[in-house]
Amino acid sequence: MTQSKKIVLVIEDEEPILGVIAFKLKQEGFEVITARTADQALEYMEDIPNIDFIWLDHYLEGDRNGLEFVEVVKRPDSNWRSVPIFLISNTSYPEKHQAYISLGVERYYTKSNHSLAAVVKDLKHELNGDS
Amino acid sequence: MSPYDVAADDLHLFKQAVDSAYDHIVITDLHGTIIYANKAACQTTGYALHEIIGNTPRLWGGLMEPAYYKKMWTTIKEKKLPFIGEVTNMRKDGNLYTAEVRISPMIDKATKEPMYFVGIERDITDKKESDMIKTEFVSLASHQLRTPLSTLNWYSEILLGGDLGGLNDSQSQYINEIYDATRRMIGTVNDLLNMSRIELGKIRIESQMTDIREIVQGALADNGKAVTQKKLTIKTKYTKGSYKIAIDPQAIGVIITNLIANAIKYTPPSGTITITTSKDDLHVNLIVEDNGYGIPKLQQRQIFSKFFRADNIKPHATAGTGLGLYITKAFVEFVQGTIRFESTENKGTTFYVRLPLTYNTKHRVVKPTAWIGPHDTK
Repeated sequence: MTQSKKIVLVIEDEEPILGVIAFKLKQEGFEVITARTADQALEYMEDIPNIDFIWLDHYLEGDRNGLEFVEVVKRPDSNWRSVPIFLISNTSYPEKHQAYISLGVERYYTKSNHSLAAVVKDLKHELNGDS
Repeated sequence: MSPYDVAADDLHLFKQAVDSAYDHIVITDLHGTIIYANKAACQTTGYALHEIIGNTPRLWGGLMEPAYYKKMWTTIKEKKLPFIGEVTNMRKDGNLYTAEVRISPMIDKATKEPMYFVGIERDITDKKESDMIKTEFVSLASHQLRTPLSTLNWYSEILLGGDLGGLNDSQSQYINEIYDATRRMIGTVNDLLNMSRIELGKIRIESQMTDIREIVQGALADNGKAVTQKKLTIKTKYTKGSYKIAIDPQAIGVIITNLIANAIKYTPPSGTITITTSKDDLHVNLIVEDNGYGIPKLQQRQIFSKFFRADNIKPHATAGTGLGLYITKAFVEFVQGTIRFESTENKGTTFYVRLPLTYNTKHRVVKPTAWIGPHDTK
């Protein structure tokens, strides 16, 4: 791992979509970790403390959905509270989006309505803005 | 048989017809006090005749928004016109039911003033429930469609972007076709989802800083291929301070995207589309003008109806659900704005949208209300 490479944790249950996101992010110079369940993602986060960014879907494999994952990550005593999260999901209900935003998620995207390139561009902007 | 006997027979026949009618029928005086109710009124509401007579329809009604009662009384009493609406009422056992209601004033021939009101209700609860199930099915199916569409969308994007190496012309053309078809399908799914959310009342309005220029640019980029192919000229004019405003981003997004997509779709090659925004203290105004096919005069009244497409554009653009303007108007109304248009066939169409900059974020569409007496209208 080079020092300049930012680490993105991608949490997405659909294998083909997970594949194409990881491919694009690697192309754009990120180090990519992928998980299909919230529990798996939390385990990775314990092991890899310097994750720079979380790319999250709402519906996940396993018992917990994206919202429940965010509830853990954004707890007041959590070490990961400051890690930015983008919700990129096909769930369209604004109530759900609002629940994510009120928990501290940076932005939400309706997956089918955005190009991968556009989301990655915003992600880079977010990371550069933070650093 | 004397003329009196004939009249008495006729009267008896009419009373029998009304008594045994399938629809709930009541007659009230000018204050809404019930002086007649048929059997169906008792069956629908669950109240006995002696409980209904002398009471007002508030006995089973009064659950809807006050504004609607006001409209109802203005229609039947002041304008002396029939009122048609949809109400949710409560039966005696506490169960709610939905009814289609029609109230007509009985006008005195000499004074030309209403003497009584006749209210007819038809219970449509079952029909509404089946409509709701259909709407929920559309919503669920659309969600399920979005996942495979996202896969198609992003994989074709990667291939077209050359991330996996260059494509020859045929490969590029074929993948472009897949990409375009996917984008169209996503548009249709979004229309269906929006329609179902409008009908389920699941539109939530929030206010946040939104850059209108970004939405306009996004809508133009989405239709970039058509703009290039048709060699359309696009002009944008934003007056000072009119593009970065606090407004519901989803509503303004749907409105702008639909109007721009329509203008591009229904303007012939070499046409011009002008998008203008301006702002005053209370409103933001959006104007989308094209010199396209226009809307035939006789069909202009239907243009905001669900699934309606004007006859003159079907040969030019076969694809289309007829949902775009229906959804646009619903979103304009959700944020308490107004939309109107001017159009001449073969000359073009201009849509004018005016949206308030401050609005009640808890606003919801006022639903038709029950039939109650004037003292209840407040």
